[in-house]
Amino acid sequence: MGAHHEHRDEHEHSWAPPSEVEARVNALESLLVEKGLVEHDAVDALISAFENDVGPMNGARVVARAWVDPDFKRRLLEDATSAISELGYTGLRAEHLVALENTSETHHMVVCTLCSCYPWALLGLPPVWYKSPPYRSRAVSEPRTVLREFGLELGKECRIEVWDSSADIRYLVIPERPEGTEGMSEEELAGLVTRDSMIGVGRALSPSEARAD
Amino acid sequence: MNGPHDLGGKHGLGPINPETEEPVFHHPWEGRMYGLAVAAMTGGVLIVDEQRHAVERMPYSEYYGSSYYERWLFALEKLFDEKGIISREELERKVAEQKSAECEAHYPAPANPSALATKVMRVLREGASNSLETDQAPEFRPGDKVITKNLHPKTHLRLPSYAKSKVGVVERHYGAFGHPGARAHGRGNEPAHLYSVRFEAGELWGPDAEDPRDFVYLDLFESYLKPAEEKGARKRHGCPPRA
Repeated sequence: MGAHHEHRDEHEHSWAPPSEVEARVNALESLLVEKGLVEHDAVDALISAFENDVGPMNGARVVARAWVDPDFKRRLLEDATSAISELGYTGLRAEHLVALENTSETHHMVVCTLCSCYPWALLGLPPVWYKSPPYRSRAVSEPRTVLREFGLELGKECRIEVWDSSADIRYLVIPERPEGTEGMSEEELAGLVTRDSMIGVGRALSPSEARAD
Repeated sequence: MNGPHDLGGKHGLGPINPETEEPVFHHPWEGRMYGLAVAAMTGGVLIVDEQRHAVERMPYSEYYGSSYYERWLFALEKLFDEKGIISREELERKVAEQKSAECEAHYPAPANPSALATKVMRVLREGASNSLETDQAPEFRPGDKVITKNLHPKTHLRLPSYAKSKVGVVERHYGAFGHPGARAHGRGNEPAHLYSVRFEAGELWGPDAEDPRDFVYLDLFESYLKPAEEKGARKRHGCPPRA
């Protein structure tokens, strides 16, 4: 243990010299705080919220409710912003939400080709692949090939509808409810709903896939 | 602007390579960068449209060689310099003073939050809508056939290149929102009607579409659209020339 003096627990300060990017971010934060434009604890609060409280589990609970409650699903498809507020999930970058239901005939998937728009309040912050040039360039022009890379093979009978979220609206895909889930509780069902299935690049897990997870 | 960000339909950018068990932030500085930008926006120091437009102005070689939060860093440095908040010289002096990274991996929620932290948490919970009221009636209705304009301004534009001069159908009218072209360039909130417009893959990609019957939807502002068929065009052709 003693051989690596510089190694500290990740919760403590790191005493290695900062990388260029770290130094720049720290300098920017220090200057903004000195000028009274930002507070350190506002930055802390955002990090804590996305590491602990806001993530795909929010969206998963919305989907599970839609699976068990047809009236809620109808409200969600008509006015998703109002429907998610019933569950307390209104929030930043979900101010204007549209829910899209995947069926055997229609498969929705979501992208932002110009930046990385994503429903933060429902799904947390987007994964790196969602924000990167390969997905952003290809999702609109070759969605079937992209879905195949995610392990989803869709036949010609299924129409692909890609939503390029280029303005103020955010989108949530409601994946199909897997077979063999009739007896499951809403909470158990939420455990089957993956982040990728709510972006539209995956399916919800089957009960056996969820057990293996 | 026709910048490096306008990626839809580009070739040669490689496979997608999703990570398994991806952390929210890969490095502590990414969390600081994210929080700093959102806190600054919440405090009114900058707005998201300005940030997007600053990212768009990144040199191509840097854009494609950078991670998401490195692009945010570029944008904030540029914007604070342009706004006269932090000059390049002031920033470089401060960067040189950084002796250690001083970055923790995780942060607890503040116990006695500052006014800005309180506001940030409220915005996170309640959102920050940019929807606006307007007396102007929408020009289009669901079902209308539209054609996107052939626009190439050097300013902020939320009409991707792959969807310029293309025929689509208005799917929904979402109401009016602050026009991003005005917001990104310091003109504040100009209400503009926003529509979901549906395009057939065959219209966008021609013979190279995977399946011409697939759809792509875009959210487009009224100023990006015109009617696909000039209303009353036939009638006008039939008018006798003026005497």
